[in-house]
Amino acid sequence: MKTNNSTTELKAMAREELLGKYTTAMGIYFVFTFFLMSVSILSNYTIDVNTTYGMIMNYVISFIISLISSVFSVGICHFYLNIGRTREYHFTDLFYGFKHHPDKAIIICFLIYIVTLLVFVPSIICYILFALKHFIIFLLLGTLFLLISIFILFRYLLLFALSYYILADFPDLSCREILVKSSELMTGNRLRYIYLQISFLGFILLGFVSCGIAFLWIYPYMYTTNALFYLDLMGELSNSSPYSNLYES
Amino acid sequence: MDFRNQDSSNSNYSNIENNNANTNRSSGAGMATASMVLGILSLATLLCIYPAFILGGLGIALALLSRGREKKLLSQAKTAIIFSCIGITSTLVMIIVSITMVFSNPELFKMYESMYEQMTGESFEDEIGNYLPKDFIPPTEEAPSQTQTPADI
Repeated sequence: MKTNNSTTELKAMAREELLGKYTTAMGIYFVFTFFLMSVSILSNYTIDVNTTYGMIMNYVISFIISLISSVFSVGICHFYLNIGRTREYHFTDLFYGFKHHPDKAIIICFLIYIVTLLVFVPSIICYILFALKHFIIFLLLGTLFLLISIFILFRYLLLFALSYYILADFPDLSCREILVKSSELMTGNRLRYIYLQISFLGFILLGFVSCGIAFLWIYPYMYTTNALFYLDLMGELSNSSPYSNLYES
Repeated sequence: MDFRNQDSSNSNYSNIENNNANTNRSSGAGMATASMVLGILSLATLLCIYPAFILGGLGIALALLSRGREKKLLSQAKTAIIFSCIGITSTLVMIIVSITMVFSNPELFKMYESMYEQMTGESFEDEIGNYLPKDFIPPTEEAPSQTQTPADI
């Protein structure tokens, strides 16, 4: 069983798998983005952000949107796993998460959100104190805590990067089991994952140059590569992909 | 790929694989052609500034994605990348040259300021001048003073 394909190989496989399948992938990305944007624009127009109540409401709504989008994310992961495994794929895969334990996706998203928030709390408090008291020590402490928070985020939260893929694959596992399995898979592969994400920077820049239109092609490419990364860690890639044998020679 | 020692099921699988690969190749070729068209359009809309950027960026992205697992790009994709790069770079150079010219030449800057005032109803210096460094805006030529002393004459 061959595992740990290089980033270049994973990206090449993703490009190959996606050829001829872009229409459905773009449709899924478009619907998902349209949903997110329409809800956030609607909330921005209806709520006055200048008041304290409005600001709190805005944060609450964006939190709810991120919880709902986590359920969509499971569907998106399922769709790209089907593409990665060269199985049948459908547009309706987008709603897969709503049919298979949406509560688990919401709980996982909630946990990750809360942990992220807690990690940044010390630096936020220091910055608020600096704004109120104007002591330079608070600014320095805030920056120090921020750097520590970023380190913790990369060290520990990256372990759960594959949670939605695992949930899409094994919907019957409990949330704890999903998070444990994700951390098991990611241990020793975090730097590879970060390198994979950084390798998309050029494409992201091209997406911004094209006023976001190119993201219709770029996001499916990124999602497929991430799905193949997951399949590679699961040791499935050499068995399922008809193209993987090309890299073994 | 050596097919000589493979059994029938393997050869069937290879045929399916080849068919898939052929379908992908044609899709890749279609995508490369589309990117070439976008690259040409990027060159054609060079003077319109924004479309050249959008079409160029799109052209490069599609050209790079069209190669599939192949290491080399198709000829259409290569053409697309060259045209799109020329489109984006020329547009960038044009923008930089125009900004430099406007802010270094007081006459051009005055024209720009009056156009800005006509379009927005606010003076450029009041609106944006505060955010720029002091030396950035060229000094405008002051009108001769109305009251002249005999010594000036």
